[in-house]
Amino acid sequence: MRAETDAEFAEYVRARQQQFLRAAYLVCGDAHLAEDLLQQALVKLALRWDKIRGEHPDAFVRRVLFRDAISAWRRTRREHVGLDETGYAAGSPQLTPLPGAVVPGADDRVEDRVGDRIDLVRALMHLTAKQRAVLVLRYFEDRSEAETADLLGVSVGTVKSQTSAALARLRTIAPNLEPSLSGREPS
Amino acid sequence: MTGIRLGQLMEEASQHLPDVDLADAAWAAAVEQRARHRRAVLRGVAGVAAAALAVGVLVTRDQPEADRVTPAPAPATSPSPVATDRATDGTLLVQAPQAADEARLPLLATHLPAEIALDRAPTPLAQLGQGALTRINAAYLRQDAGGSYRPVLLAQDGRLVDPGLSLRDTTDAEGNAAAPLDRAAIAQDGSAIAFAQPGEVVLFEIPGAAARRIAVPDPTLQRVGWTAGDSGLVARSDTQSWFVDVGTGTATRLSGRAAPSHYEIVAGGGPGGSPRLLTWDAFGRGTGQEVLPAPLDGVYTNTISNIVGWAAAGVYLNDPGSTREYQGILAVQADKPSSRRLLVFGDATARTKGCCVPLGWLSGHQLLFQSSGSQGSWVLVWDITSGQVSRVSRVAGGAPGGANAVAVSFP
Repeated sequence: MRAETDAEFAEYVRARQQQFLRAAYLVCGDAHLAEDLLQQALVKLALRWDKIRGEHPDAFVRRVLFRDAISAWRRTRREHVGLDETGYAAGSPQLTPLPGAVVPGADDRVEDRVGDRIDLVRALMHLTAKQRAVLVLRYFEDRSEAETADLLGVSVGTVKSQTSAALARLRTIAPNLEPSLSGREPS
Repeated sequence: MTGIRLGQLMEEASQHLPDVDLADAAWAAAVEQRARHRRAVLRGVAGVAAAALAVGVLVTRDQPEADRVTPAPAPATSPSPVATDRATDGTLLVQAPQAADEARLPLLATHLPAEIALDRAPTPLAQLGQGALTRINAAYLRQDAGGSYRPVLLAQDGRLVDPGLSLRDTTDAEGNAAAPLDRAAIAQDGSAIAFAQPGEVVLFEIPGAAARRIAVPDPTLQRVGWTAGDSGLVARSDTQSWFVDVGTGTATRLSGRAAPSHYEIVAGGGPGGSPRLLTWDAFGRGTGQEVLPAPLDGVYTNTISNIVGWAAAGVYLNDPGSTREYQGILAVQADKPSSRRLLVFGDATARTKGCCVPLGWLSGHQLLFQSSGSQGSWVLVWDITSGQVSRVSRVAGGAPGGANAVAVSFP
């Protein structure tokens, strides 16, 4: 493995990194952690670049990134269990981000859609990590049910049920998002 | 249309993220990782060769070379001056070293090794024989291909040992899963380790190398930790707390919330929502509380307390200011509130949220904590008297974002 960055690797990463970073952020809810996760996935890609460069690097990165994002969120959450004012985690949704969490557009009061996307980020944090990963792969990355199942290592049936449960939970937590959540399901 | 509208919202919700360029850093890290792997292989070959040469004259050494920990290569440096300030409420603010400098902090020799390699294969306990373990210094989890967790114990003599336990995720009432390792999992004397599991606590007693399962009628148990003086265990879920008597193997539900440590720092509940310091007895029952003036509005870890009355927890600050210093570790001595001090972690771009987690007290005034971020993961020690931070162990081989969590015993 040469010390200087492989030109083709650099070209691939620079073309794809922003999209992957955003996907990781939507799953884990933390911009810094998302960058850590993406960096880790890209290191793994670099280690296998000679083999993967001619195959499907997107699938490899997505597989590593989403699975690590799910694991990271589970473990990060663990440090927060039972730590609200009364000592217990909130049993019902409280759409209040932890201090330090990045809330996009928090100061922007101009457009209604800004409110929607703030609510979306907050509401996503009340889903399980796997549910978020399914939604992000299906709706943000535009992957099929079969591909989503393959990337996450679950069955197509699980993808269907997780998608359905996640959308139902979003409707409960953020009713104002209903117009964005009803209607035709993606293919 | 669900797909289009939801996708658009996700696009907008993530468009604020700054541009990054990770290509060169990722490639360089891969080159370094491969070089490190090559060096480890060469060390293993050298170890096998040395063992082959020594076999005729030395037969009593029972610690395989591959199992022993290797010292960190970075040289120790001299302590640097500690920058301090005062918050408006009087809390002493101590500036933590930059994340990028943690690898070069002075090395402090402790009961922990200079490197904790999470990806190194442990020795099955069955191969070591009866009485091989007397106490453990640390523990972490490895996840197998099937998703189960295998605890790995760091024995007092430096060996990594697989006790043969298989654990599963804990799951809360909403179905969120988490790895079953709590920072307070190891008894303070290193003689036992406990894991929360759905509907039970799994207790592994080191001297007898025996696992016991103690039923706790709560399928959503999340945490378990030892009470002061290792008197028992407090297990809790989001809504219930239990005292587990390890002598009788029974669990008793506690009427209110409970905590395993003698003291606990909580973010609110005082006048005007101010923080409080709660006191608990050896059975996890609350015995008192007092107002704790401190510049925080969130607590993100369990509190770790020691026998001389110091308590410490990871906290979020209530006035991050323009420097993005939004998290730290607060320490306070219970009978001397004016002693409170806050180790403040800056350079937010190199640190993850909840980056720094107290692990235990090395002595009455030295707090072990784990720091994780883009520069790696370290067990460090904060001397709350001098303010100095030193390096103890490099935590290598784990996934980012807390998958490298380590629990430690007291020395």
